[in-house]
Amino acid sequence: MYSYIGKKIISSLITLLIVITVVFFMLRAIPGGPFTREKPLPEATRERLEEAYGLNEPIIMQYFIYLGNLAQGDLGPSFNQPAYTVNELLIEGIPQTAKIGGLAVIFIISLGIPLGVISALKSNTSIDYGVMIIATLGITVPSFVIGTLFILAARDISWMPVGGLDTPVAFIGPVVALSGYSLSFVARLTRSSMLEVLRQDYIRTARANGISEFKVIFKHALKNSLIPVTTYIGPMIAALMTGSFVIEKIFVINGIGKYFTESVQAQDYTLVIGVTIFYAAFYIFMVFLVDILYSVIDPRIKMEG
Amino acid sequence: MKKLLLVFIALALSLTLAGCAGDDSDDVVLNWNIGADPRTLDPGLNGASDGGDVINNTFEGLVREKNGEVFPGMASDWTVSADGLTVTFDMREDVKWSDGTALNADDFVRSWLRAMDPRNVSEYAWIWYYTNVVGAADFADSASDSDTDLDALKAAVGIKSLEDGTKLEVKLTSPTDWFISLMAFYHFMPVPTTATSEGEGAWAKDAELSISNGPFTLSEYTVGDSLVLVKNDNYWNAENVGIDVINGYFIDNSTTAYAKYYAGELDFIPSVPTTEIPAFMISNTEFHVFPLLGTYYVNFNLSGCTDLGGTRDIGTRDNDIFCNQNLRTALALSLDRDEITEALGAGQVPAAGFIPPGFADNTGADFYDTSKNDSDIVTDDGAMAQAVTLFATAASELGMSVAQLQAELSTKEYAHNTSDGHQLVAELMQAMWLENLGFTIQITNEPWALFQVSRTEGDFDMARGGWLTDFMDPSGMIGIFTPGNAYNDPDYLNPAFVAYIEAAAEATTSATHFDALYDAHAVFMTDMPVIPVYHYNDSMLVKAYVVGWSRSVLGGVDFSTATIEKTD
Repeated sequence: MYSYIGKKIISSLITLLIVITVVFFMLRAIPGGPFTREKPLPEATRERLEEAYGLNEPIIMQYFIYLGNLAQGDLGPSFNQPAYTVNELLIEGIPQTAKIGGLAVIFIISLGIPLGVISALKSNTSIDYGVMIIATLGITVPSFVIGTLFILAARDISWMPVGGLDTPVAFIGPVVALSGYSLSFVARLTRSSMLEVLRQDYIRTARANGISEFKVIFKHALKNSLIPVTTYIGPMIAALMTGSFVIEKIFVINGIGKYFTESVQAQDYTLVIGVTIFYAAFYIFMVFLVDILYSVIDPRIKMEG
Repeated sequence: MKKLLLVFIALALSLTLAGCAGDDSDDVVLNWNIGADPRTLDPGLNGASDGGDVINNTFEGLVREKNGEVFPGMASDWTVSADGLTVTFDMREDVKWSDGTALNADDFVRSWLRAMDPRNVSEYAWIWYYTNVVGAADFADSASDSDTDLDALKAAVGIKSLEDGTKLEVKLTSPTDWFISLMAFYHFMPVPTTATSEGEGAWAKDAELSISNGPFTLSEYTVGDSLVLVKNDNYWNAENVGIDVINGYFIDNSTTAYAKYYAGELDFIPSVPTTEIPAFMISNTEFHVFPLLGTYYVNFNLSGCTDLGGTRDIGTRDNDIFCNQNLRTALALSLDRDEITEALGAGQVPAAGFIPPGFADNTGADFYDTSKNDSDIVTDDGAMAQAVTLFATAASELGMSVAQLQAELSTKEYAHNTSDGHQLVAELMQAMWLENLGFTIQITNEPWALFQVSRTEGDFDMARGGWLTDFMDPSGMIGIFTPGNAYNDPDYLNPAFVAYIEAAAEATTSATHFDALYDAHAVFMTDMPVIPVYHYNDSMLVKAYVVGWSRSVLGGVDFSTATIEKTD
């Protein structure tokens, strides 16, 4: 167990280093730079700015300087928000993003799995069809459409603010819009997985042995049908907790989701790598957690490095 | 699980409820969408319009400019010497910084030298080149890294504080009509002695460190979200400042901003969803359109053209046909600019010349009105027949049949940077050229950073161009098409044009200055190195109860005398 975790940590660090390296050099390969303006800056001014941010050093030197600072937890200054460091921007934004993401995760799990189970148990009934129609809509209608509909509705609903997170009611729009796709996906996945499990011999055996239907469903069937769902939910949590550019833009939420796109457009090198590291680390951690959960759900799955 | 859920919800709610302690008092509050999170709020170091909008309300220069009209600001009066080479500002008495300390001409001298000092790397320091202040361009432009050299250049700049800081004297190299109005621009506003260039003026975003001299001061700043400005009681004209608190938001999604405006959560928004604009133009009195000092145009690649183009190396690119003047003119005449601006639908002004409305000449006439007939361009489709004739002439001059020229042009590209608006203009022009001259230009697009490089290096046949000037003189518009200028994308080089531009710069009277500029514009429009398409404008939505606000032509919303008149 411990050697497994140790190996996992080492391989995670190597993965992170590869991600950082690839992103670092790919960013520099894009033409232009953080000081590209609509009205181009005079050559001399741009050079002095680049010097001030150490961008005049050979790129390989910049890379090692960056890694050195990173080792001390310093993600560097933001090029686009020069008054702030990347650390400050992340600390400011993460709580907002996590609030929405956390609520969305709870919403998805507490609603998606039960809906999937009900659909499976009542398969080919009107309840099943109803749930699946809604789930199909949830997958096909993009979040920005759901979000925009909420904003347009909020214009005319006095108790619902247009964007922001100032009142509890304000959370409804972003959480629903952010959850839509994953909620539907989890419901469908749970349903099909549950149906698959219910057809297995051991379920028939359990039923033949006279075990109560409740126990058959919740002790034997559900547990096993959750394995593929768990696989999906791990990375999903990482994605939701690191925010959505679209949702944050539409609902005016000051999280970090917007930085994933904005920082690339502005070629804010340090911020791009900062949010990438945060997302990658979170993702790797969740995948690792899923691995451990497997063995809890099904002890036949061994943790081997 | 259930418990965990409850804890989480409780936590989330408590976090959010904590954030909404209401404003209770009778303060007059304005909710303003700035649109973007400004890079910096330091007047001397700022280079962006969003920052400029905020700075125009937190700081004040020697003068304040509202809708093109100049009013006294930190200076109560000014005199220009008979030769036009010395400007003396009388400082307003008893003006103070927001912390109560006195402000005088010394602050301006120090702030200006700081803003032009290359060691502080201001993005707008190049504007000193256009001020004609003695020694300013040499200092701002200097590539030297030696402190001795830079300090010597600094000492040579022609600005001086006189009579214990009650007067500010500026020496100019030539008479500069636009100098006074330029003093309203954010770059020329003073900064407190505590200002540093660290973090590109991070002090100005920090409510604890920020000291300013305008109608408002910064009281809160939340990166990525919003800022709060409060009335500055130490402002000389505080009695006429009608707003107590300005909540400024950084919402860049125009649909959401508009929904908030509609719901009454915002009073003043700078951008309107493009699809909504045409409806507003007709019906909404809350919709305001302002002309900007800028032009949207199409560059021809003229590198290597005899008597017309420079020597930029464009490799194997074949631009020979664009050296033909009749062809360039035919292409310019065959566009229906009224139709293009109508399609864009935001009240843009169709461009018959290169100079937008808003520049008064020495007689007080608008340069735009006087110069718009310098070519045969009309804004509607009235010049199509002439365009067809010129196109045929061009074909024979190039030794081709009309069909051959059409085939040749169908292989040429019009490049623009990726954006829906630019694409719309490109497709309209493509359709007009097809309908009127019978060829289909190829349309290509690149992301901004790449496009900029291609355009500067001459890697294009025809390319989108756009220019907004920063001072009230037409030379700031056509002056960019001179050899060596970084924005001369067509690589235009006509010695006659260059001579007129130089004559305008060296002119000692307004009359000779404008005569030379009119001559330069006439040559420019005959040569047609670029096709003017339309003049830029700016639009905003403002609730009817917000009154007394204004806008400066050089950019910058002004709330210094605004107030809110709500009847409820």
